[in-house]
Amino acid sequence: MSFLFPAFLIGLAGLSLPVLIHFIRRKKLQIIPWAAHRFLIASIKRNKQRLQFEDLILLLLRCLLLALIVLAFARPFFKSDLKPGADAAAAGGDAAQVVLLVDQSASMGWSDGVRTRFDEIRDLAETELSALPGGASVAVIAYSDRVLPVIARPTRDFALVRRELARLHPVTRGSDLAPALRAALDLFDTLPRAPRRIIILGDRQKLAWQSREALDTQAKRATDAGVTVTFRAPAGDAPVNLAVTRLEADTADAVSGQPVRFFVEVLNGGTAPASQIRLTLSPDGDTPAAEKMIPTLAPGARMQAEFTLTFADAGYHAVTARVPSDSLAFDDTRTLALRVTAGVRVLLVEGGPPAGSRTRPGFFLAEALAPVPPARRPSFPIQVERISAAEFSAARLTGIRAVVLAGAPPLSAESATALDHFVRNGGGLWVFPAAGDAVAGDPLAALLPAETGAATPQAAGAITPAGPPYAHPIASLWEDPSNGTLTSVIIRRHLPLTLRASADATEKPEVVVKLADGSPLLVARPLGRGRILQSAIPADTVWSDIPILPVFVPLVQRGLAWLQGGASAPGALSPDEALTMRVDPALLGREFRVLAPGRTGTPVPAGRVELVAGQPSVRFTATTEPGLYKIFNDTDTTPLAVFAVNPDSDESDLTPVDPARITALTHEAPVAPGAKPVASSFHLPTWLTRDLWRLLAGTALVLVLAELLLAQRFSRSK
Amino acid sequence: MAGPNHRDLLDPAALNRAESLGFVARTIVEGYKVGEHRSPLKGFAIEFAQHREYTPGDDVRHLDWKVLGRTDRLYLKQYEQDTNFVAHLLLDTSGSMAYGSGKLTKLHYAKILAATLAHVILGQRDAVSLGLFGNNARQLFPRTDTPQRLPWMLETLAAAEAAGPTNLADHLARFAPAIRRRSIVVIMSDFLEDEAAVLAVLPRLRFQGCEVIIVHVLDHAELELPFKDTVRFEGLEGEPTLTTRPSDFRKSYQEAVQAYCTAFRRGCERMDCHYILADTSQPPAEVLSTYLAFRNRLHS
Repeated sequence: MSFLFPAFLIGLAGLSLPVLIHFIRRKKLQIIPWAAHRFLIASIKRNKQRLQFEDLILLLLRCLLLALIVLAFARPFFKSDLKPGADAAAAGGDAAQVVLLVDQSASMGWSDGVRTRFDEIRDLAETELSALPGGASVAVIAYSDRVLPVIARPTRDFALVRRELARLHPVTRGSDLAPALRAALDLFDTLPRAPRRIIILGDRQKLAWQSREALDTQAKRATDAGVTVTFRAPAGDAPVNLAVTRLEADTADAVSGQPVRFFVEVLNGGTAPASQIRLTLSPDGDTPAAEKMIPTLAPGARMQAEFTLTFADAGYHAVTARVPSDSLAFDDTRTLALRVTAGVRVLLVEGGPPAGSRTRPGFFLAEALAPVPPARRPSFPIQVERISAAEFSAARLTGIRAVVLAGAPPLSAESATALDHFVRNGGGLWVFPAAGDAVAGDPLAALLPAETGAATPQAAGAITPAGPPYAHPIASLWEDPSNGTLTSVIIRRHLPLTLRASADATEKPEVVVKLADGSPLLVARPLGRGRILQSAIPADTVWSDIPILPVFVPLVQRGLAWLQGGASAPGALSPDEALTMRVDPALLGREFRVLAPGRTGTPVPAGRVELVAGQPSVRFTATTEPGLYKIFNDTDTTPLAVFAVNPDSDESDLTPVDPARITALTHEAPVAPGAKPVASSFHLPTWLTRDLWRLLAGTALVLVLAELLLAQRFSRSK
Repeated sequence: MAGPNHRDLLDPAALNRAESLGFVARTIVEGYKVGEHRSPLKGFAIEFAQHREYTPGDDVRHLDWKVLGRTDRLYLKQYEQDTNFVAHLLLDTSGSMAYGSGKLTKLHYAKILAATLAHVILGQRDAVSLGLFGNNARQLFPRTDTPQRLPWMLETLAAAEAAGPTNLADHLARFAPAIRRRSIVVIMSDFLEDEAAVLAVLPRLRFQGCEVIIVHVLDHAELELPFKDTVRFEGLEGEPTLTTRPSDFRKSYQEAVQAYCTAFRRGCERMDCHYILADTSQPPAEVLSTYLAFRNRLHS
């Protein structure tokens, strides 16, 4: 016999309770001076034997009652008696320890119209549990792209296991089997030696098995530890699963009335080709504003599509890309939040010759910022105000979104302080040097991402920017050669830039574009809520030909868009990815509220604006649920930020794993999907291999009644 | 328990009932003073008793001349003489009398009975003596027929305390010779010692012509053993301590007590003694009035 909770056996010490109670009651007994002793003594003598017998019966009964209660709590069971030669571990046999690894990734929500794969997983789990003999203990670990211990230690309480399995449901996350397998083996390491078994209950999605090296490591570990690994999967494949796996806007901050380009990617994650796929793009949940028809999509194939939408109103807008609904619903849509602004005012501060001269350092910049004929510039969303350095003052920054310094001489300390404040509160700053050596003692230098050295001498040959890959979003446009190339730019001289060290990781400078020799050409850094760009070359044609090349306009436009993005929320996050967004310092300590996806009405308080890395920020972590989130401050009805949470797009690929991979892990012949495991054989009757606590509890109840009756009977005067 | 004040011993209710019923000698007592009670000494007083044949030497003044005239025989007229009686109130003050489950201990209860009787008897101009037997010593309050001495007697009674063991039979045996006349002896005790020895003394008292009244004072708890939980019984006269659960053998105990009381009562009745079982849960007045009413019925 073994016990499910042997620790409860400590309660057997309670057998001394009746005796202790007897002695305690003796201590509290009534003391009576008495005269008629002769009758007492006579009566006691006459009844002594009977009383001793009755007391003994009651004592035994009460001790037995306590013992039964303790045993019932300890949950005893008879060990099953396996047939000789049976593989205990394989059979999940005698006192075997079993870990159920339950796949709860989003792909488990695939439905045949009636039941989901997760429902079938539950059935498989039930089958496995029923096949386990008495004495086996079961732990449950749910996995997706994270590991969730559901029953962290093996238990013999199968009712508990069933309850927990019933509570589990698919989550909108990816899947990775290796960490779950490692967690199960780690658990076995903490348990006493016994036959061990891991039962993986999941679909055969290739994604879960992609960590080949990690899985091989765990498979070896399982073999070394004598752990049997079994894989059970629901029957059938997923023929078609259309998914929107990407939705991006070409800009972080769109301008009202101006077209915005969106990139959408569609995947056929099933095993059969799909045809006539209607891909739509809907702003703000409305009816589709744009659509495209994809004639056919092979299994595993992806299709890119571009859409252009124009937003009439400023503010946050939600854009949803959608494919027709199929058996796996979580990836049929993808949402993006986009901030649309009414227009951008850019202050271009120049040095050098008088206004109107083509040789002024900001001439090409002004043209690139507003690349339209002069007649259309008043209605163009980017309004450029050109001033000389001498005209610059803090008052000029009112309503300005970005400041571009083009060959401007060093500003005064007051002006530098004003710019520092401007950037930290969400403004953008782009610094182009003058064609010449950097002037020492520039009060603005401390803000910039890099320190400048003396200008390089005239290059003998052509120096060009380095080619792809480009990690920074400003330069990512030229990842695609069809958008042109930066390497056509010829640079004759430049200022060497040395990135500054930053204690704050969020304000760490980075290189946007570097030269072919590795020296930075364009560097960037966030500062407070704003962003700064610093160029190694002037924006004129003295040191390079870039202002007259086609790449200059998109570079300036993308740079400006990036500069404005500092105060914006990211358009989309992954599930459980925390949102950290810098906000106005005036909001520090105030409460912020969140309207989660699918909710309407009043937003609920979700936290307070706190200092994150020294900056007043909204930090929101409850992003498990996919959809659109809106964050408000404690008073305004206009959202501080809107962002979307989209599930892992890789999870949409339902391509099955190579069966050989499963065999390599489990050392089992491929099992027919949905096949039932073979139950172990027992010599003991089934009821004896189950928990005996009910029997014990019932007996204890009978004993309670017997004790009450006898105590009542014995207490009658005789 | 502190001894009661002597005024407390006179229970007004008991006194009222006892006085209304009087305390009439059940048998003829040998008085030493003309009183309300018949004397065994038949003299020639007021109330005619019987005729007796004349024998030579008799006083011819008592010849019944009418009988002589009618029958020509010589008969003398005899008259009953009213006389006082002496009531000896003997109380057991051994340690066992200190027990009381209610307001009154057995000794206190006995004191009330004794005080009430003394008050009534003295009020009838009869005589009372008081004996307190306990702790192997005895204290006697001499015989008196003066009501003015009642307070002193009561003070003696009130001062008595129950303590230690006693041998009541021995006390009685030593007390008996001191009773010179046939009188009433009232013995109040719980008789928890050797009742056979007590019964052995009674014939001597009866032989002396005394009327003996046994007042068996027992606490209600001693009769019923009503305790529920485990109880430690500590002896009042040096008996060993007993820790037991009375409910286990209550019935057996009650039967034993009843058997004892019955046997003792029968022993008393064989000696032609009155036996009164005084349960301390009953008011003393009720016990006393019941008994006195019984005596009156015997007289009538």
